[in-house]
Formats: sequence, C-alpha cells, structure tokens
Amino acid sequence: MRLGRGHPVQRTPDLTPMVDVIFLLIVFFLAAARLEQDRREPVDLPMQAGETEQNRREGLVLTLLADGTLRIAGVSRDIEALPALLAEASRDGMPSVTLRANREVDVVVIDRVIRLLARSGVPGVEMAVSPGGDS
Amino acid sequence: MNFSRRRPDPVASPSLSSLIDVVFLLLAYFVLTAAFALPERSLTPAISVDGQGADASAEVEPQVVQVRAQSGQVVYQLGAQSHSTLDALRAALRKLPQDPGLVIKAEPGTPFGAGAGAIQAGRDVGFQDITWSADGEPS
Repeated sequence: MRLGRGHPVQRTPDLTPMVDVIFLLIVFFLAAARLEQDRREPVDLPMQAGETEQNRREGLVLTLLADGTLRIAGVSRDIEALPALLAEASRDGMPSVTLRANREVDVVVIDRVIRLLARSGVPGVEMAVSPGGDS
Repeated sequence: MNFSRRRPDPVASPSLSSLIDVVFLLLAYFVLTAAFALPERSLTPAISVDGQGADASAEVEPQVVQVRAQSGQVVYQLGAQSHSTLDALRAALRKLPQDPGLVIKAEPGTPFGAGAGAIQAGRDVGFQDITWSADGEPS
C-alpha cells in the first residue's frame, strides 16, 4: 500500500464570518448613535396632534414626571433652581425650551415652571405632546 | 502534443448565505430604529405671566376658556357654557370670532393633559393667537 503525500491544498479563508462581524458592528454603532439621540425619559405626554414637529437637536428639555419631579438630562432638579440653571445655560443666548410634562401633572406645577422660565427671560415654551388622540 | 480538451469548469453558484445575512441585518436595523423613533410634536402657545401676556396690548378682550376638574371630570368653561368634551369645545369655539384670540386658564387641580387639549382644540378650529395663562398664585 502506498500512502503518497499529495501537495497541500491552498485554502482561501472564508470571509463570511468577517463580513458578518463587520455588519454587526456597523449596526451596533448606528443603533447606539440613534439611541443616544433619542435618549429621553419615557413620559405619558398629552395625547394631542400638536402643531409643529419638535426641534429635537437644540435647546433645553425639561421633563416633568407625574409626581411633579423636574428632570433635566436625566437628573432630578429642584424647580426653584431653574433660574440659576437657565442663567448658566444662556451664556451663549437663551436656549429654546421644550417642556415634556406628564399629562396627569397638576397645572399648578406647569404654571410654576412657566413663571420661572418667563422671569428668566425665556420668551416661549414648546409643550410636547404625543399624537394619538384626545386625552 | 496533447490536444486534449480541457473540461469546462463547473458553474460556480454564488453562496447566498452572506447576502441573506446582510439583508437580515439591515432588516433588524430598520425595525429597531423605527421602534425607537418616538413621534413627539409640540404645542406652542404664547405665555401670559403676571398679567403680561402676548395680547396684553390688544384692544379687544380675548376669549377665555377656563379648564377645571370637577370630581374627576374635566370641564371646559367658555363664558356661561360648560363643555365636558373637546369635541363640544371645538364646536363652541367654531362659532367665535378668531381675531380676539383665545386664552386658556387652567385651575389648580386640573391635569396638564386637559389644558393641552384646550390648546389643541383652539388650534384645530383655526385660532392663531392662543395664550396659556400662568397668572395663578405666584410661587
């Protein structure tokens, strides 16, 4: 019996797993970037059609939770500290303000926030709503 | 001399696995991003604070919608009329002139959603000049 050694076969590496990994990384970074952009606290906004599209890239976003807690960029803040925060934020001009308030929040809290904003020089407030019906 | 004909190469069928992988990944990406894109819109009323509103200098008296909660039910008061639904409020607002504008006053204890509904009702019937009155008790 002769066990002849043949020539070693030169195998080309399979590129499929590498392509898979690259696409997975691309999808991951795209999804992560999108999540970063939309990173807003979930709030039960008033269910109304609204007037305008929200400007999501600029300005200050104030979130009022159902219990009246004010949150800015994910951090709970004292409502009375708003003027100081606005003074700091308005060094390069007064930012536009979007108020994302839970639909069950007492309007007393809303009015308190609006009064503080107005006294700080904020000319107007965008009230965020969620399209989907009357509430 | 050897003139033997070479056999033609068998037709190589391309592997579809990679293509299917890519298509599914793209599908997953678009499904994910569509789910995360929450559609939020805005209401942009003028603001009245300490009696100084957008139409404080207006010669005509603006029409006022009082919003209040009575035993869990939201009531929209327009002059002597009370309306319990936004549709009824819209119907009443349609009969009013739009030049004087509309002021929304929500009483303490009223949920913000009801006030936002009144703003929306005003916009729906064509009022351009809508003011949110925050002239309540100063904090």
